[in-house]
Amino acid sequence: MESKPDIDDLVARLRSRVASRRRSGAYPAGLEEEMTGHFQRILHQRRAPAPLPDLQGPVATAGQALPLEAKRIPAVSGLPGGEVFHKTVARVVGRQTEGILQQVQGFARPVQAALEALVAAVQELEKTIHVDVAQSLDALYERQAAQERVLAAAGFADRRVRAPGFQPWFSSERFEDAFRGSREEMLARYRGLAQRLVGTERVLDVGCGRGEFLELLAEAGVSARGVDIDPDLVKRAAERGLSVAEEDAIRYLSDLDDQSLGGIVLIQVIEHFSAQEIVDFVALAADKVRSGGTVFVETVNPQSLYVFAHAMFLDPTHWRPVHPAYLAFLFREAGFAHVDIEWRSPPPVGDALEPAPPDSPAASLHNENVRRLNQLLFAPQDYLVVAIR
Amino acid sequence: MEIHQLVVSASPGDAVTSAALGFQTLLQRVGPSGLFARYVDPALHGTVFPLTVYEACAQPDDLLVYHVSIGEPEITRFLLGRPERLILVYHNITPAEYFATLDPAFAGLLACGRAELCLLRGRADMALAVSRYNARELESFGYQDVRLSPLPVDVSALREVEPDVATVAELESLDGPLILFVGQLLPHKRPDLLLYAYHALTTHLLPDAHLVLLGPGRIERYRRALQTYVAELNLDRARITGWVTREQLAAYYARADVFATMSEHEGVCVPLLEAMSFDVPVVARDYGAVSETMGDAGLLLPPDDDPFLVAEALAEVLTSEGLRAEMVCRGRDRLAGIDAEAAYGAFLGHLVDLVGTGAGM
Repeated sequence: MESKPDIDDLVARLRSRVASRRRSGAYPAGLEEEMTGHFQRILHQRRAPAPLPDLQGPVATAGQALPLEAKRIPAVSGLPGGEVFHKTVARVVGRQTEGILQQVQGFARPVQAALEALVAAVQELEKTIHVDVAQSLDALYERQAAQERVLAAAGFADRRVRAPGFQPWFSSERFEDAFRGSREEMLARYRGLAQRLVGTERVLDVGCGRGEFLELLAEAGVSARGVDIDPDLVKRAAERGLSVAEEDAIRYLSDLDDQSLGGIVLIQVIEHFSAQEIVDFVALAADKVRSGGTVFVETVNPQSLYVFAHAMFLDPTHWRPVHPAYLAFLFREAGFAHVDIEWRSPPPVGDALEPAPPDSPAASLHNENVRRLNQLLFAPQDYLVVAIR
Repeated sequence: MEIHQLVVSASPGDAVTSAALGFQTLLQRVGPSGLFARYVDPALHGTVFPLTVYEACAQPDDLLVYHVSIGEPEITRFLLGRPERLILVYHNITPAEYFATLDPAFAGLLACGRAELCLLRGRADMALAVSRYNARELESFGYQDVRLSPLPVDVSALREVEPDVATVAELESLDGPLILFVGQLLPHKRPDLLLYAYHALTTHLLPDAHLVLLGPGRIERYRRALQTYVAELNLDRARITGWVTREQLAAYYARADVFATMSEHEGVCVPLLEAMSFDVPVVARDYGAVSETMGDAGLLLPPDDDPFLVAEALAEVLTSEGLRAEMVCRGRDRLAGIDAEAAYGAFLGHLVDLVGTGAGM
């Protein structure tokens, strides 16, 4: 049977009420999964408590034998005169019998009390283990899950944890060698940038990789430290005597004192960040860099289509390119006094379209078209944001 | 010619057994009519007889009515080897996947049931379904000319039972509104979802609401998990009662402020009608035959799993007097359209149609 429109309207109203309470945070996100998970764990993972054997019964039966008394020893006999005989013997050995009984009693009473205490303790323990421990474990699992969600929502998630699916068998260093150029090429390419930091105290190289830029900074006499989450690369850099830390950059930055850095450098790193991490990073940079200090962020330029055919998708850990206008906006919003964009790495000569010789017919129109096409397809592959605090 | 009925398992309070006993009373007005089952609960010895008894007194010109709600290879084998004419009454079979990990043997029987329905397709002379939903499902198995034969539900019967005095007194002492679920505490009825929603309701909307989950928990592990879950969420106003007497059941319905079921599979869902007979508004989700049982009398939620939506719906029904009055009113209208005598009449009509076409009748 079709439901009447007024019921549909009511359901629609209820739905929008739920949606608005979710938006306002009154209804927590993920509660349904949490509750389902909890119930499924109870249903499928917890073993049913095995019933304890009956301990109370036998202990109570044993207790009924107390007190031990000579008069409870039967004197009945099937033989003629047997009962008289037993009673006579009992009288004769009465003193010894009482003595022995008292000794046994002295042993039996405390043993009985101990047994009763043990049975009670075992029963209490059983309740604790099967109910309380299971409950505490579930509560802990749930608290852990809730905290991980909060951290993830705040952008503090460890990126190694968040992308557990990608665990390449090749070494990061081999990958860097194959696609980012040799150490010498890297040194040549970034020497100029390092020179611009001469006179700066305490520079942090975020995502320092093999440490080429740290070497350049050392060469220029700039005190610097690197941070990277890749243990292979950090190990290699440390072996070369560079000061590096293996940690998540956002977490590392947030632990530093405010205004404790002279500069921060991110070379081809920010495209690995999530949207939340990017905004968190810029806010942290504003806090940690001293007034007058410089932040360099070099990354692939999404305004160049050439980049998408080359650098962008070569690295499987790239998240998304960051638009230069957006990044510049972020730094300005965060309070950086001066923000500039520099275009770097034009495509190799020969890849871009050639303009026609100037005197050929319709050359100026043609050349304008070539210029536009080149701008679209062959814009510089990288840009550098220079933000001065 | 005699008309006899078969069920897989006969037990007191079971909906299929009750329907068959109702039909038996009707059939016995016109001649001898027995009810036979593969498994008979000791409480029904003397009322329901083992299948083997039928074999001893069977006549080839008998008419057999087989009520299908689960698989039973032995009955199917038996029927395939018998000459009697056969009417199937389809009460629906719970999808096996709900029980796959919890009770694999039971899941196996459920899965068997659907396969056996296909085997019996050529053997059955007539197929009846107790709801349109069931009829559509039979048709999807290749059955043709499936006829609707509604369950004869006596909606006033429970209303006429004197509610248990002790239960009434105990329930009256509860402050706050009472949400009632009546049905088997099994996975396809989703009592877990109702608990999630109740948790959301008492946390955010109506902290003094009570919840009663009332029904047999045939799978001990599942029932215990529900119980543990209630304890661990500190839902101290929720209780899970086992199966109760009709007098106690009447007391629960009489005290309830809303009836809620999150069931994902229903061939009919009689408790919805029982609740309406006590002027209790009903909230359910759109699965199986729920919407056709409920008509426009209840709050039918979409088939999704959002506990907050369910909580909001319960709060709305519990707090909006206008809505409650409208739902109670529509519930009465809905019940007015349900006529047990007409259902018996329809069943007899189908029998007459078949017998009338048979040679030598």
